[in-house]
Amino acid sequence: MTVLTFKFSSTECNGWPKLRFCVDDDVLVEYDFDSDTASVDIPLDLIDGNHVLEIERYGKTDNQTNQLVTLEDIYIQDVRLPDWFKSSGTFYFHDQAIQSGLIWHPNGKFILNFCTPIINWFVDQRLERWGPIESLFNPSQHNKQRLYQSLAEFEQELNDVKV
Amino acid sequence: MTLKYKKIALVASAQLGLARAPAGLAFLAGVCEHLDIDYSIWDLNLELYKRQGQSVWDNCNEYTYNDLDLLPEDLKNQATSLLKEIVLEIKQSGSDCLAMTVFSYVQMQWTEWFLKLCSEYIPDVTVILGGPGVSSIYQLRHTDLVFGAWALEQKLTDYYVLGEGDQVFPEFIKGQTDMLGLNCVGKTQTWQPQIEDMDAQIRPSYKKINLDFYQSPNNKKIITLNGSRGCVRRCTFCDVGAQWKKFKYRSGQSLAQEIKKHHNDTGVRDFWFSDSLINGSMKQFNELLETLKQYQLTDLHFSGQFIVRPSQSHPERMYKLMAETGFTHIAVGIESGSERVRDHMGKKFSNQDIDYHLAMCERYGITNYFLTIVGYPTETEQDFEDTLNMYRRYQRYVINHTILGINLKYTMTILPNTPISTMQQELDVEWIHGEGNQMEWRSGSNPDLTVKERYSRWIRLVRLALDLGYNLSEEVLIDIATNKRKALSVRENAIVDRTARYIPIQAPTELLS
Repeated sequence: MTVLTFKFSSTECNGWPKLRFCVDDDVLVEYDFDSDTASVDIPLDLIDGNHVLEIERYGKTDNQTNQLVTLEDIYIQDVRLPDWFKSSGTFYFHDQAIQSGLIWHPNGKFILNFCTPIINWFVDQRLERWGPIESLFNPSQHNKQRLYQSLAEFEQELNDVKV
Repeated sequence: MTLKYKKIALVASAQLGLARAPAGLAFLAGVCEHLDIDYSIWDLNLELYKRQGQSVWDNCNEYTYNDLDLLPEDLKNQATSLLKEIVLEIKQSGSDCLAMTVFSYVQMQWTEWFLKLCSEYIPDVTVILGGPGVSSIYQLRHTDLVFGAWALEQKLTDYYVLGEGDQVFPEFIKGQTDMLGLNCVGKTQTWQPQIEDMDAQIRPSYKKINLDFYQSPNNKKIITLNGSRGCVRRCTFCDVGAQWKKFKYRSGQSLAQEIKKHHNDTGVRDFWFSDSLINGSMKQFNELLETLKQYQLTDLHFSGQFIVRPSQSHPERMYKLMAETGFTHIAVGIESGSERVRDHMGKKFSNQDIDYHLAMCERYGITNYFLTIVGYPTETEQDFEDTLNMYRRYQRYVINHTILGINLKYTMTILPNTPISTMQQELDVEWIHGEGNQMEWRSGSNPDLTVKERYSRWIRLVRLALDLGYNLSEEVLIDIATNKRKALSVRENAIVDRTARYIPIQAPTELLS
C-alpha cells in the first residue's frame, strides 16, 4: 500500500486546527493538531484511475482568528514530491478559490487531483514538469516504443542461441 | 635544465566518451609546463568528431567497442584520412617527441592504426606510450604481451610506460631512459612503483585544451580531477587492484586548492573525479568537503564514483556537507539487489545500507546513477529477482531524481587481472568463442546461467527499467544492437574452449604480492 505523508505547520489560537482527509468522498483520516507541526499519513489503496483528494479545514470559530494551517510538503513513501504537485491544488472557501493556496486561514477545502498507480503517474510527470535535468548525465531521449520493439526483436532472435 | 626534446606532441587516442577532455592529456600538458617545454595537443577522439562529424564518430564507435578491423571500407578511408592529417600536422609542428596516452584496452586498435601512420610519415619522431590501456593484453592480435610491449616489438613505439607515468615522463623528457616502468627495465619489477606522496605530483594543466568542443550534457565545461590511485575495495570484477596495489590519496586540502585554481584559471564550475571512489578515504573526503566549505565557492558541481557504507561511516553530516559544497551527482556501483551476490563481489554493504544512503540523498538533493551488473557468475534466478525487486522498490526515488538513471551496458564481463578471473577453477568457468571478448563464458558451478540466460536477464532488466521510468543512457539503442550481435555471434560459432580466453595475471609480482 502506498502512503502519502502531508507535512503541516500551524498556529494555535484558542485551540488547535482540525483537518479531515477524504479521497473520492471517502473519509480516510481526521486529524486534530496538538503542536505547531504535524505529519499526517494517508494510506492509499485505490483502483487505477483518476482520483480527488480533499483536505478539509473545519471547526474554526470566530474567536480563533489567528489560527492557521500551512501545507509545507507532501511525501510519498518518504520521498519528497516536487512542488508542482502541492501547487496544483486549489483552496476553496466561502465562494472563493485560490489556486496553489497553501496557507489556510478560514474553514475550507483544499482539492488535489491525481492518478493511480500514483508512483508511475509521478514518474511520467517528471520530465514534463521539471524540464531538462541539470546533470552531468545524458539520459536516453529515444522513443520508448522503439526501445521496447528493439528488445522484443532481440528476445525473439535470442531463442536461436543454444549456449 | 637540459632537456632532450625541444617540442612535444601530446596525443590522446580515440575513442571514448566526448563529454570530457582526457585527463591524460592534461597531465602530460602539466608536465610540459612544469619543465617549460613547448607542446601541442591533439585529442584523436575529439578530432574525429569535429572533422568527420557525429555520424562517422557514432558509426566508428560501434566498432571501437568490438573490432575496428571490421570497419566498413568507407569509414576506414575517412578515419585514415583524419589520422594521416593529424600525423602531418605533428610533422609540421616540428615536434621531435610524441607522447600518446591510451585510456583503456578499448583504444588499442586506434592507437595501433595511428602509430602505423606515424612510423610511415614521421619515423624520426621519438614515440612514448602511457596510460592504463598500455598495460592491457592485446588479445585481438593473439599475443600475451601487454599493448605497450607489443607495440615496441612491432617497432611502432620507442618506449612505453607501465605504472606511474607521473614519475617516468618528466625524467624521460630530461633524457633518462633507464627507469623502472620504461620498456620493462628490471624484468621482474617492470612497473614504475606507485607514488607514495600524491601531494607532490605535478598538477595537470587545461590551458591549451579547448573545453568548448566537448559534448557534455547541458553544454557544461568539465574538468577531470584525480584525488587517489587504487581503491579501498577489491571488487572481484574490477582490475584496479592489479593496476594499483595500494590505495594512495592526496590530502583534501591539496585537492580543494587545485579545484580553486582551475576555477579561477578557467571559470569552470563542473568537475568530474576520475578516482575509483571519491569517498575511498573518509579522512580525505571529509577534509575536502570541509575545505571547500571554508572557501565558500558557490555553484560548483562535482561528480564521481561513490561507495555505499553503513550509517556509522557515513553520518548525516557528511551528506549535508556534500550538498552544501556541490557533490550532488554520484555514480554508485550497486551492482546487484542480492546481498549474496554483492558479498561475493566484495562490495561490503547491505540492502539496509542502500536504503539509508538513498534516504540521505533524498533528504539533501543528491542524485545517484546506479551501476548494475547482470549475470554475475554466482547469480541465480532468485538473485536476479532480488535485483528486479530492488528497482521496483526504489522506483519512488525516480520521482525527484534521487535515482537519476541506471547503467545497463553489457552482461557480466570477466576481465583479465581481476579477482574473479583467478577463480576460474573454483567457478568452473569455460570460454565460448564469440565477438563479446570476455562476455561469452559459462560456469559449471552455476549451469543455469548460460550465455543466453544472461542476455535474457539483461533484456528483462532493461524492459523493467523502461516500465518503471528509470532513465537509461542515451546510448541504450546502440547497446541493444551490440548485445544482440554479440549474442548471435555465439550461436554461429559456439566452440567451447576452456583455456583460450583465460589470461593469467600479467601484472608484476611487485604489484600483486
